[in-house]
Amino acid sequence: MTAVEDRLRTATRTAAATIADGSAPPLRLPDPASARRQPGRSGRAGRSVARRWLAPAGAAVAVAAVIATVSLTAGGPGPQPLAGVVGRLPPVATAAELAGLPRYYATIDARTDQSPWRVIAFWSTVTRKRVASVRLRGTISQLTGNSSGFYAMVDFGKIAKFYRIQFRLKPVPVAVSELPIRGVPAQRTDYLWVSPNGRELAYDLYGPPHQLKSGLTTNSPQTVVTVSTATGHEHVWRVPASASHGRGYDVSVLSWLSDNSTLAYALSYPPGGPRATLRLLKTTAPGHNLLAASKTLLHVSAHTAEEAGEDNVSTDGHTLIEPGPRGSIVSVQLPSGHTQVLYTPPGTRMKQGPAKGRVIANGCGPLLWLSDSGSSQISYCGLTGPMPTGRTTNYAVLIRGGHVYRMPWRLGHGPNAEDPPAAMETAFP
Amino acid sequence: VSTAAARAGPTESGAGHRSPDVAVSALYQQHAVGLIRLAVVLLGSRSAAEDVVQEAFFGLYRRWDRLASGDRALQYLRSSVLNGCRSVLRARTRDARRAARALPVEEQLPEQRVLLHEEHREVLAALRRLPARQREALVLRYFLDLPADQVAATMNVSEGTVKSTTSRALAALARRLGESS
Repeated sequence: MTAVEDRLRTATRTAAATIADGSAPPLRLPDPASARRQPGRSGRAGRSVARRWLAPAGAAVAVAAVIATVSLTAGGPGPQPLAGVVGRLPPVATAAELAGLPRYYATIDARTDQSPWRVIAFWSTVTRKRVASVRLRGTISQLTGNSSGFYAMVDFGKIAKFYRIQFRLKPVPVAVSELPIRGVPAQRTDYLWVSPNGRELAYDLYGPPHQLKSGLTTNSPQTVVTVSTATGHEHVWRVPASASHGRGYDVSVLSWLSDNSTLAYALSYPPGGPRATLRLLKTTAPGHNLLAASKTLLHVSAHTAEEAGEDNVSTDGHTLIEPGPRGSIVSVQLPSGHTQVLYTPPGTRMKQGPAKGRVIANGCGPLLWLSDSGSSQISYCGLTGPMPTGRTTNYAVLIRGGHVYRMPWRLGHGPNAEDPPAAMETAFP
Repeated sequence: VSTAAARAGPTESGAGHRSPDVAVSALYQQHAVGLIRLAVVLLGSRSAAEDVVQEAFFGLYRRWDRLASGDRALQYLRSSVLNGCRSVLRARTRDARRAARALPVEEQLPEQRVLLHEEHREVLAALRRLPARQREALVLRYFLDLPADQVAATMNVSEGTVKSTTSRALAALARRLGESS
């Protein structure tokens, strides 16, 4: 048995040991009569139940929508955060509401778990129809995009390669081209961002392994790479070992600013948090010292690396959008740090099952798109369904000018849409 | 920790010989803790693990009449728990981090925080960052000690896929842990 196998076996059994024998909660089964009435999802019984509830449910939704609309529009932009049940928010409908939004969004799907092929589908923001799709063999580990196109990092075994996907009218609607970028080790990148002009990609990179003061070995990402999409010329930035004082850092690349040469990133320490610093890297600076080439913009507390990695800075560098407490979306003015809660989804009280009575906070994040000025954003919000299924329904929510709308998109559909993490995190062209 | 409860087959055979209530309750008594442990390893959260296992038994109860053989009940439950954990993790990727921040007591597992050594936490964190199929293959193989054919049956893939997935997963885990496999 190798050392890794040994560590894995020990760790999993130690974790399992926290569950004592005989500590399972009592089994709750429905009474047989109600179980027999349980409709299939697409069965006839399901349709009749749906029909029975259609009128009152529709009326309730309509009333809730009116109330939500009135409550959201009456106040206008103000200090009070917007709130409301995501599924009942008014959908985006008018051209004015859609003005200035990205034209397309992308989803990733796989036919089956076993399929080596992944389908990237592109959907119109406005018509909500699928406009194009491309099938790639390999695992799409990262996908990002802007007006210059979509950029995918695709894992082929141990190596990840980079591709650009663009729309064209002729000769084919979608053009896929491999970028002249040196392959990188697969599964060692968490973030991929393209500069506004499409000339540079930025990503983080795990490793190499190093020992922390605690004696543990980690290869948490401490490297940022910027690479030209045209020539493949790359610039590697690292946190020098001497600067971390043996504690280690996590680096999360957040976004490019509009000058195409400044990269916002979060530095979390020790690896896994709890402190993070938001910094700006000047990618034209000489050398390879990540800290020396960047300046601190904001200190953020209680952020783990993963949480900090979901922050996003507007391209003008004036606004930080981040997930806040209780699943809210928070706007932070930079560099003052003035914080405003933009939207707070309500919690859901579980009605059945072992979690009965427990309030689950519905969450928003990560950010899908942020306007250049940071005044408009589209976020990904989850609404936990009633028990016993407890499944989460996913929505995209548009926050603009003191209003909040539900984007009526198809998100996360398909049997394997979220595995690998789908294009919900993707920027839009 | 004994994982025998989740590893051993059911003692009943023939799905239709006993009423679903009795049969499913008996299976629950026998396997619930083992399956909760399996879900805890995958999810890191006891409350979520209990929900997933409850849901698996609920599904078994509803489909009991269609179950070809009681011998397959445990395999069905294991697959169901894996699917449930995958759903939870998918949702958590996007929104349960927010929930974790809002409900730190529930999601951050104080008992595990105390009992788990930092070394084990590091391994589990690396395990949970693997792609779903790799993570599940490793847990079935190295936590439940299932042979490759049973891992394949549980994951509904071929044995060859299990072996290659396990190999890739170990390599990926070693990279994340900074070790050579």
